[in-house]
Amino acid sequence: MSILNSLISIVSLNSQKHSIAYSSASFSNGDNFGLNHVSKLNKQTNTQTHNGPTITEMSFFDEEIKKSIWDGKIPIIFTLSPNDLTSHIPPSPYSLMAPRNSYFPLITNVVKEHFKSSTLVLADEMWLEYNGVPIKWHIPIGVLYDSLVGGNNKTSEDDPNQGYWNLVVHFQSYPDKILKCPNEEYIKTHYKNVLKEANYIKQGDITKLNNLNINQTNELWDGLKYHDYDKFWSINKKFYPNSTKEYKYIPIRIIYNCKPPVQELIPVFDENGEETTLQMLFNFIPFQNVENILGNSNSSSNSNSNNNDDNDDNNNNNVSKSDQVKEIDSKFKTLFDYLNSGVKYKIQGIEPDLSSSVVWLNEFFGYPDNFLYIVLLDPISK
Amino acid sequence: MEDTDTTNTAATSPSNVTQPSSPTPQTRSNIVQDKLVVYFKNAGGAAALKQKKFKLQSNLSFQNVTEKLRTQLKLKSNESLFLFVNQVFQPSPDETLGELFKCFSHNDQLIINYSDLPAWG
Repeated sequence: MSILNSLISIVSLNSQKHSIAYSSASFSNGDNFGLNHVSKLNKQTNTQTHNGPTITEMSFFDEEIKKSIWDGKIPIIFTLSPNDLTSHIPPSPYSLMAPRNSYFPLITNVVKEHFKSSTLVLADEMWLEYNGVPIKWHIPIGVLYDSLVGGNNKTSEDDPNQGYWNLVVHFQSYPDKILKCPNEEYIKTHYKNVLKEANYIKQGDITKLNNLNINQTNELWDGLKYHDYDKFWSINKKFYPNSTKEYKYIPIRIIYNCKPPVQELIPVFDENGEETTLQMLFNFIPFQNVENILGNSNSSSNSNSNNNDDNDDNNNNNVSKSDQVKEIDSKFKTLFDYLNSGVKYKIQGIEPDLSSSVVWLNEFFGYPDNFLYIVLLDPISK
Repeated sequence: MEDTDTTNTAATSPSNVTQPSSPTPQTRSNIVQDKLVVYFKNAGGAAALKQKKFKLQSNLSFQNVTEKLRTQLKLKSNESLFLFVNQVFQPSPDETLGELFKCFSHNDQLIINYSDLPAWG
């Protein structure tokens, strides 16, 4: 009976989230095509909740949400860098709808083919750039987009490229800052390891992953590679416990400006036995733990760290890491305080309500590597 | 052998609980320490280190950690080395040591297994 109770409470929680998803999607300026489905579902689910949901109805709608998140795509226009152009006529730009839940090397072969004939410099691997920033291929596309473009894709009304993500294609001078990806095996190894890491956090071991046979492992990879929902989720669902009680921690990553992630062990329940919400999560994370990725936008890993163990004495180490414009207020105790100062966050392109259950978000808004990525948006570029 | 500061690796360290600023009472996650103890364990054909525990800066990237270990082992550039956290996974080169420590340390140390082959791949 307690299971039924919790199921019903999950349904009501879900319906709250959907209304948020709906309102956020409506002003997200077309960067969340997948979420149109969620918005449609929103109304239906609410009606169902009023009528008293049954288990089958619930799982049906949940499945639809999962699929909508999976189907989220970003329209991208690729243009060849003028430095690489060796033909007389510049090639036309190439556009495609990129799945949020994928990685660039898995989808850019067509882009490479398109530009190959217009450049003679093929000595290096192809790489992508946005506004001068080299794109890190090992971060999921949706996280990259939220982090680099976030809420400020609202260019002027008469811009013909409005709503598109404009990326520049390079074939030379591969930047040191980003990892190399010479072949598919690299991305496969990377993906497998992040998946292991997330599942290790989630369950304390990776038995479920190790128990996969070779066919299942291939099915999972093919599902990701060819963006095949049924294939991918037929295996991926095995990594999600049937009951929240089987979770050890929820694997989450906080991302800012595509810098290395901040990771925390988020308990599923608080000390009163209540399911962790986004607000509780933000309160759980001391501001000091995210401070390093927020300051100093140029260096990736060599930024200075918290030099003191004393919580109250963090004024002095803040002076050196002030950004050129942004001043980080050292009075923040937690990430929640920081967000309260007007900073936005995005998960799969939207800003789910603070009352959303984190364990639910992890399963439904998580990326294929099983991490829930929470992207903090730069307050100065709003 | 070496002692870190008085951190608990468990997620709920009472010493770090400050006044909650929201209506929901919550304990806090640990604050990342400046220096952390890393314990290197060899496997396969990789040589053991004389000194196995190191105090390293928490803001090092995993790439830095790999480079440091390679230097310690005096490996040539053509000799392969694979590093695993707790015999489970290979972190990405850009993950920071402090974040890994926060999630995967036991008894105030992070165990990194290394091998000349991808032993737990």
